[in-house]
Amino acid sequence: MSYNTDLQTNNDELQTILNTINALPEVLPEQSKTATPSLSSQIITPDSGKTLSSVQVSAITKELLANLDSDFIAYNIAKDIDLFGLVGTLEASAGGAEISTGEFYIASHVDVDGSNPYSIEHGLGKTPDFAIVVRGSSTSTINSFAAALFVSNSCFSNMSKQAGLSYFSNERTNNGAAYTIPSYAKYFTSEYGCLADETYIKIYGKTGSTINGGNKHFWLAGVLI
Amino acid sequence: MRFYIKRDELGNLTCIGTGPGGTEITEAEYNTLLSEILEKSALVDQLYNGEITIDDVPAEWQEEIQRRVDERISAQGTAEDPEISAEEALNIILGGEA
Repeated sequence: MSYNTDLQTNNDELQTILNTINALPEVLPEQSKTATPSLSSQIITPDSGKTLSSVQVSAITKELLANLDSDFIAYNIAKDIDLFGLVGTLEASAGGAEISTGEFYIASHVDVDGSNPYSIEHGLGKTPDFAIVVRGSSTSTINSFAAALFVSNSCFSNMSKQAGLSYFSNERTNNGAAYTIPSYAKYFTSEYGCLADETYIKIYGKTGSTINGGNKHFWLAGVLI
Repeated sequence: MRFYIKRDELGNLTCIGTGPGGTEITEAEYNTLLSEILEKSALVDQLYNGEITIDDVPAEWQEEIQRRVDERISAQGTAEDPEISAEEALNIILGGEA
């Protein structure tokens, strides 16, 4: 009798265990997913009937940040500061203007005309209010130079035939009237003029103009604040 | 400071510079290229002025230097920029009388 009782008890316990095992959830197949950082938080969930084994999150790169925020540009980062691989170009304000500067040397020569300028990337991220392009000699001393100073995004015509400094004012662009070059601006060459957009300072010239090699050119561009 | 080079569609070096744009290079590469640019420019001037002959130019540069001199000769009619002193240049920039 006692054996039957013990067996029954064992059977009951085994059945209980079996029921417990049968009640365990089914083992689902695993899957991996990827995620790209975004401006919003994300919840990564497995597909129906699957379980997550891993989630790979993409690295944060400057390209990703630029795609997420149009303000993530070099100009909005302090100069020489590296944020996620993007080096800033924003210089300390100088008398009410954000300034960007640089220099360049032409290797051999560059032909420019009224349609094909030589372009200098200024890195300001917006159209500069003024820009200066100065050509020096191959030494550190400026022996002769051609420089253009302009305000706003439209600037040239009726230039004198001398190389030197030319000045353009906002009034010049509003009515398109012929501009009288100041007496001191007698050295500006008629072969060069400048325009600027949010990316480039562009040096134009009349057909056949050439920017010769070997000379140091210095440029400065600024946005008034 | 950021250094860069620019090349044309044929891969020929067009310019070097500092600031944004172009293809970034190291300062050492920039200085090496700058030395070459200045040396070639000086040879062009010397050959153009008759101070040297083409034989005085390194062989690997002769074609380029001769071409540049020939181009300069063909454009010889263009007036050269007048030379002025640094003080005169500064005076002009500051808006003084010429």
